[in-house]
Amino acid sequence: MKPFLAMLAVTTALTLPGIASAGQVTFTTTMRDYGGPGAYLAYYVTDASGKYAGSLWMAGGKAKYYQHLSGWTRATAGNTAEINGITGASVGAGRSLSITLDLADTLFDAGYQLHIDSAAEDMRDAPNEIVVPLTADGVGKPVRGTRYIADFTYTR
Amino acid sequence: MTYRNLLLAACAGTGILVAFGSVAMPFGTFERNTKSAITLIDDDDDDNDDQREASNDCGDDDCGANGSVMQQPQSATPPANGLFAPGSKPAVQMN
Repeated sequence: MKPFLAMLAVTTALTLPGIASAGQVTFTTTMRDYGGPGAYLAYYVTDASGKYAGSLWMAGGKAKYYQHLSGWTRATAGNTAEINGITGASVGAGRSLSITLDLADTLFDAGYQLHIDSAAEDMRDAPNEIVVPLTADGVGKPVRGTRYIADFTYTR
Repeated sequence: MTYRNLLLAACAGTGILVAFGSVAMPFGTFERNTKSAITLIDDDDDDNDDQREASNDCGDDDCGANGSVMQQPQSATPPANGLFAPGSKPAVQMN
């Protein structure tokens, strides 16, 4: 019976941390009244060494425009498989987009940075318009954008 | 006898994993996502893609709608890139 209990304990111990180590994170992005059509926004994460870690959201549904999100395109080689299931509508001027995701807790306070590239028709592209470290201290603190984004906030 | 116990324990462990997995990943996750299986073809007549024309498709993806809009992502299951909890689904709201 002892091996049974030991194996059961091991499998349970291995399983539980994986379940407990994720939580809801909400990204809120408010756009400026920049006087153009809906902007495409690419949300993606780099690790402590600056290496691309993965995409979190793509606002904008037409792949042919993703080239204008040059930071994301460079990181992913434009691979749309990176955003399967995490693609939505572009975001109009003056509007606000809130995205709630279940993310691994290991993303926080571990050197990861969230990047947001933005672009709008006939206007300048803004790669890395927002670059913000994912930290517990940064929760709820607005970050100002430089071109299309008025401010960006994340909450847990 | 020991081997039988180990086999039984392994089965129990697998059962636990499957039980937790079913909570984290509902059956809907396994449904075939037909949209992701379709390759989108650009059939626009205006193929002057070299011009700076990002996001001229507000009508296509509702970016110009008024008021609060709850959106569903085009495909509901995020990629398994290690950033998302398994089986989780994004919730999106535009105001």
